[in-house]
Amino acid sequence: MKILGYSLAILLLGLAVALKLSWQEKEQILPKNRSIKLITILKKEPKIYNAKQILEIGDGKIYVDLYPRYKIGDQLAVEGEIDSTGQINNPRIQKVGQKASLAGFFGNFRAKIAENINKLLPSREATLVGGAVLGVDEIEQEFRDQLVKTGTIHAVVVSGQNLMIVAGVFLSLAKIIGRRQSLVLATTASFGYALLTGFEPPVVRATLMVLASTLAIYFGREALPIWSLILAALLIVFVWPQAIFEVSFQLTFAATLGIMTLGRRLANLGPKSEARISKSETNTNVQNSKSKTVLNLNYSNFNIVSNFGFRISDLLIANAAIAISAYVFTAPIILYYFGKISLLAPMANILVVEAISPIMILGFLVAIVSLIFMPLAQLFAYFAFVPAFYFAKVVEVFAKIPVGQVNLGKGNVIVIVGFYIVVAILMIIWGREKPEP
Amino acid sequence: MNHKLLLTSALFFVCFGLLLIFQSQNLGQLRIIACDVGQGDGILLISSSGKQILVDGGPGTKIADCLSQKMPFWDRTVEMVVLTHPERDHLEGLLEVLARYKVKMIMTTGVVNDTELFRAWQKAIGDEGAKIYTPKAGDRLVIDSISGRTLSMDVLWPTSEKLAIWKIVPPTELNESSIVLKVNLGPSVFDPEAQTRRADGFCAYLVGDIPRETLEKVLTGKCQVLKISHHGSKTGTNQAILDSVDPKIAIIQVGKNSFGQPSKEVIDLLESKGVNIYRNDLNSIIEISTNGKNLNVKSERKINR
Repeated sequence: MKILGYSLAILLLGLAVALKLSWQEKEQILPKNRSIKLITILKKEPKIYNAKQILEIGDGKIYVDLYPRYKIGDQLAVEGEIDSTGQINNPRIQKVGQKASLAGFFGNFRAKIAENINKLLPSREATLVGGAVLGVDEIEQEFRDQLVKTGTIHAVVVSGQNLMIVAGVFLSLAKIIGRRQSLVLATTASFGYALLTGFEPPVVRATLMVLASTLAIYFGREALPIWSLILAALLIVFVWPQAIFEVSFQLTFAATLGIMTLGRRLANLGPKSEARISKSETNTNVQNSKSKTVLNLNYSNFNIVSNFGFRISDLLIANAAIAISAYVFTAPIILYYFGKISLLAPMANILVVEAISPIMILGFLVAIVSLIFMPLAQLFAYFAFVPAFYFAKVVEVFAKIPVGQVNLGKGNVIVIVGFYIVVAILMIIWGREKPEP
Repeated sequence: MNHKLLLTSALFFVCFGLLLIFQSQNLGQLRIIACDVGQGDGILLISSSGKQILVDGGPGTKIADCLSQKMPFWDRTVEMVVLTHPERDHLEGLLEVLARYKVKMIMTTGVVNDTELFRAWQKAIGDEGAKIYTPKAGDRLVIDSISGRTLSMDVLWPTSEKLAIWKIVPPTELNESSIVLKVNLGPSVFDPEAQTRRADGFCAYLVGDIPRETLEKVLTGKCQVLKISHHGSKTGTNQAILDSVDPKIAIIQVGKNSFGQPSKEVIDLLESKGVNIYRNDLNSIIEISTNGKNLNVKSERKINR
């Protein structure tokens, strides 16, 4: 109960922050289809894609050449043509001033880290390491296409999975530094991570959801994580009603829910058979083996290792379960919005998922150390290169496989609902055979 | 237990990584890599001892990906960067290279271009602190000399007179100021005896966007490889040039464009001379490797013309 209290306290804290943010989040609506002249302050770090800088101003997007580079806090006088979708191509821009702000401070901090990582690693590996640590602003087009095609782009943005790893790493320290401390650390780290990645509302929402469910799964019982996830989602919808229509929110919710439900079932499959074997052959305590499976999905491989000894099969199964369940639960949403989904994604994700935790952990080390002493950061970067290189190679190989994408059900609600019903029925059928721990 | 897992997986990954990396390296050869930078130029030379010289950076940032693929991951230094002339399709990517790599020397004519991009470049080379080298026709740069084979670069254009004039009156056409280089791999130039065995040498012309009228005047003999001037535009190539170079391989650095490049005239001319044509828009990355005697061309996509 005490733990539930903590979770609630954290949610309320998050809510307070969220409320404050939503207060500031008055989106500027630009006029459309006319020539436009405006003076504005950049609130978001420019994205770099396809040899263009993309500056987001309210609901509009300005496309300009790569140089000069702009950054958060720059006050710009913009003069150009805006089209019906809010795009302004190559307007005349003059930098008229600069405004210091907290967002600007974190923006520069982020930019500095990204710059350092780019200096330490080859471009694709730098994209992966930088993306896992900060979320990417800059991504080379060919690599982006490959990531999209293999359904692995979530690794370089602030995804639920990445947030779970951050929370999981700190929560797994509970045995060493105590529960309460690990809880505080995990919360701080998650919000710190959200802050680093720009603290945009979608990130804050994802942080809240993931934190709520990860904390619950770690400290609570079977049913609690799903309830706290739903509770978090409800609170978020209460604060940002428009979020419910946003793809990012739906994806995070679906992926987290999938990992909580289907993922845990799947993760139980492997060790269950193992438990049978151990009962007949080595007579290991089955009870012990089961409690291990409950904790299997703490999203920190280290946890399994430190608590229950090294079993590589468990680790692989747990990771694969995360990848598959997230894929299954997000597939309908992706189909609904984009009308196509990669058939390669589950396999590619099962293979790359092993590399994500090491990339993140080493990535954080590189990021922090690079601010202090570059040569040492270079050493860590060499270590981070290995999993990142593996990730990049898997993506490259899978992107070459000529298996296409499924085109289905764009904008079709029946397909989506049907898909979820089928998944639910399957889970009920298969769930019944097995006594729940 | 914890440590065992960490060490085991680390060892596994390290071995796996090293294996692939060492396989993909071929030291001991000169490699000329025409990067697929889209509509623009970007050529990476890697000497047999592993020194890198980058001639132009193309538009956008694609050049960084090319460098990452072709350079070993631990090497964060590019020995020399050459900017043939300060136009976007040759310059923009070099800024990304300066941001990501340590650059020791920069070869540039100093000809200016009144653009934001050029001002960003000037600031970047100031910050980089690299040695700036202004090339003059007649200069020879010796890159390295290993087991009796010397890799050198001859500067063929611009002349010092032209440079002096451009300092006062900038060239009306920036292409006119494009640096022209001849890359030689062969017996040591300081060994007179070896000089007579000239036949087994290798050379390549890297000509930027130089107009054909200038190019035909500065060429110094035959070469196996010719980088076709100005993305295959007819302003950069003619019969006389092909006659005096007599190339086996022509590289056309071209991407999707609205200028009609490469021009049909140039393609026809090359085909009539039986030259093997490699284009970045059809062949993606093109890599020529040579030990001075044998020549090997590797390109990613198949030619589907």
